[in-house]
Amino acid sequence: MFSFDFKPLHYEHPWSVSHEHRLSTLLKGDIKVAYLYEAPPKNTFRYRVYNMVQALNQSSRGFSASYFSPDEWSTIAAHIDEIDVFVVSRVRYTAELNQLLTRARNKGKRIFFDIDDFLFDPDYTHLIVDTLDLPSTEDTWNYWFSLISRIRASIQLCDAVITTNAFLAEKLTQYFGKPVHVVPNFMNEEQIGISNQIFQLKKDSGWKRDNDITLGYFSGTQTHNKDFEVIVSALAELFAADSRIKLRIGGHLAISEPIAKYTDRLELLPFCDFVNLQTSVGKVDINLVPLQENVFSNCKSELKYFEAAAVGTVTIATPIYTYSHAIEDGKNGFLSSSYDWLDKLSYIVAHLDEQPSIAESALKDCQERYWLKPQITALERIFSS
Amino acid sequence: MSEKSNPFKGIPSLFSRSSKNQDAATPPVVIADGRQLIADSKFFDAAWYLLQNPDVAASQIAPIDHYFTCGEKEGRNPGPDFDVAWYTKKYPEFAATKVGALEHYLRHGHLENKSSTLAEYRTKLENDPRMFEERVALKGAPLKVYTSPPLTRRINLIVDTMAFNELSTHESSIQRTIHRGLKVSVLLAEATGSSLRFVTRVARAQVSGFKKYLLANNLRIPSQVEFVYSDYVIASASLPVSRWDIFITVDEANTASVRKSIPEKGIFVVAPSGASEATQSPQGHADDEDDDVSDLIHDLSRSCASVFV
Repeated sequence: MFSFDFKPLHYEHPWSVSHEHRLSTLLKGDIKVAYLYEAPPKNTFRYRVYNMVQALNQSSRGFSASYFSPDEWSTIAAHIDEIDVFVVSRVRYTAELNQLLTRARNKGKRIFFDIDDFLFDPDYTHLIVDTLDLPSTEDTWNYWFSLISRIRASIQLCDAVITTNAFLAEKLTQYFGKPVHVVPNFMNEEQIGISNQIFQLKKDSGWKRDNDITLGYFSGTQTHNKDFEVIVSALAELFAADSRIKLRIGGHLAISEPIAKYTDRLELLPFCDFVNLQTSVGKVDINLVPLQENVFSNCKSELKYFEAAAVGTVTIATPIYTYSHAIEDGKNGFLSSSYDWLDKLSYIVAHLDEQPSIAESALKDCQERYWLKPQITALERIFSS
Repeated sequence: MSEKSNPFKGIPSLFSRSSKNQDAATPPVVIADGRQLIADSKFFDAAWYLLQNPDVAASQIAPIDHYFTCGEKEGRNPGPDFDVAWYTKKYPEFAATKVGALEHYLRHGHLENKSSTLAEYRTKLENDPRMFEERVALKGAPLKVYTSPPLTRRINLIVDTMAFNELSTHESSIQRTIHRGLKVSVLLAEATGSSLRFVTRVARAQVSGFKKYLLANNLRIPSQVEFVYSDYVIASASLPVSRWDIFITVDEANTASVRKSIPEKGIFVVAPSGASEATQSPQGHADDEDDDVSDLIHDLSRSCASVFV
């Protein structure tokens, strides 16, 4: 594990801002973009709403943007003539949404739907439920069929779609026949701020680490058991072969049999906010991103790669669409097929001295592609057209 | 009782921490007091119980009293070797009795060859001749599948286990059979432009050595391979299938299971090869077997064409 000291930062949700402040921010610019989201804010909100709004408000081309939950839409409706663009972020269909968007369309406003997951084709509901390892209960089926069908209905109310990668964009184009734009997930100012400090600390220390080799798996949610299963047998062999190997787990995970016995080498992190999470990621020697290879996983973004790259931690990932496009194997990270994890991890462990140059390459790559600034232009282009 | 007729032969004692009142040489007698029965059994581990349940440790209540009066009802285990939730789910008939899960096991369950944990049940299924019929029934149960839209052509190999480092030596007939199934699957996937899914049903695949195994057998490394552990004991993983899935089986039990879920035209049963197998070496295979597989791939590719429409 990397040896650096970084005191936890005081954290408050940066998006917890009063309605009045958000409304006045929205109405400031020449081109006003209102993001509609569903409460409560989760990861999708942060990447697809908060970060986008932060980027647009830094634009020098007269954009202003803000975000509003369903209980605030009536206020938004009162300002409908002033707003230029509506972006509906993964909001499920409701009568209120339909009414607001119908009025907006009749007034010639542009309406986009933003989506970061393959959640619009009910034919794939079972595959998604299975991929997420959810129990087959009435509640599960009711929730997921409803979610997917309602998202599909919401997309149909919009003129165009914004999504995270070309693979998902192609699926959306095929399904809806609407224009689709790609804006990848990217780091916000808060993440960049803490990450820069951690990267510099690691660099200044000469990438100093202790004798343990700590792998990190930051699942975040409870729905990654089957993804982790991809590497269980490789991890078990690695644990057995090398007593220095430890595993740090961030998030909920069902630890399966072959590695459950290594309790003294498993570290379960308590819940952590997204800013201080960067410290935990920065500490580990290798960031693990195993994924099942199917249509749902292939739509996922590369955020686990750039969150780790920002703090100088090297990622090894399953080569789903986004990771195989983001990572050049051995240069700015590693890619591993389902059968290659043990060999690849053994190689990385035996060549830890190569990590600093890989970490530097990954950071440079991410600053060009997944930092806030480069994406401002992408957003300006979409909303100006 | 003669050794031959002793039905408990081979069953470890349930009372490893023998009661002070008992002579170690005499078998345990049924004790009327359930609390005492549990306390004296090897399944109740007071230290472990306190470690797992800090609230009990803080309460100053004797661990056995806590477990007997409320712990088990709350789903807590008495020690690492008895799984209350699993026992309750596996043997629901015991719920009709007035005793708890562990007490039931100590009084009746172990005499009926019931298991105290999933791990013990799994071991018995694989090794205990008395469990043969149950094992056959479980393995022959319909393969757990569900229909999903077709995206890619896929060749599925269904076997019990898969450990590539062991397969490369082909020591046993089972390994030779699995090897043959693997070879056919990889070649068929290559010939038909399909992805591969290897499904194991008795143990998780040991995938290290996969590339070495392919190279040793002159097989190309496929672009996409998925390994799924669909545990036949608990039917853990359900497989998404479409009309573009072909299933290859190499043994009777798994073939029976697949046949109950997949249309016959999508199943290829690969029989063990003939005498040529005896000449196989760790480095590769005799030419006559290569010819045999080559013919088989030719035939199967044609069959695949009628499935991949």
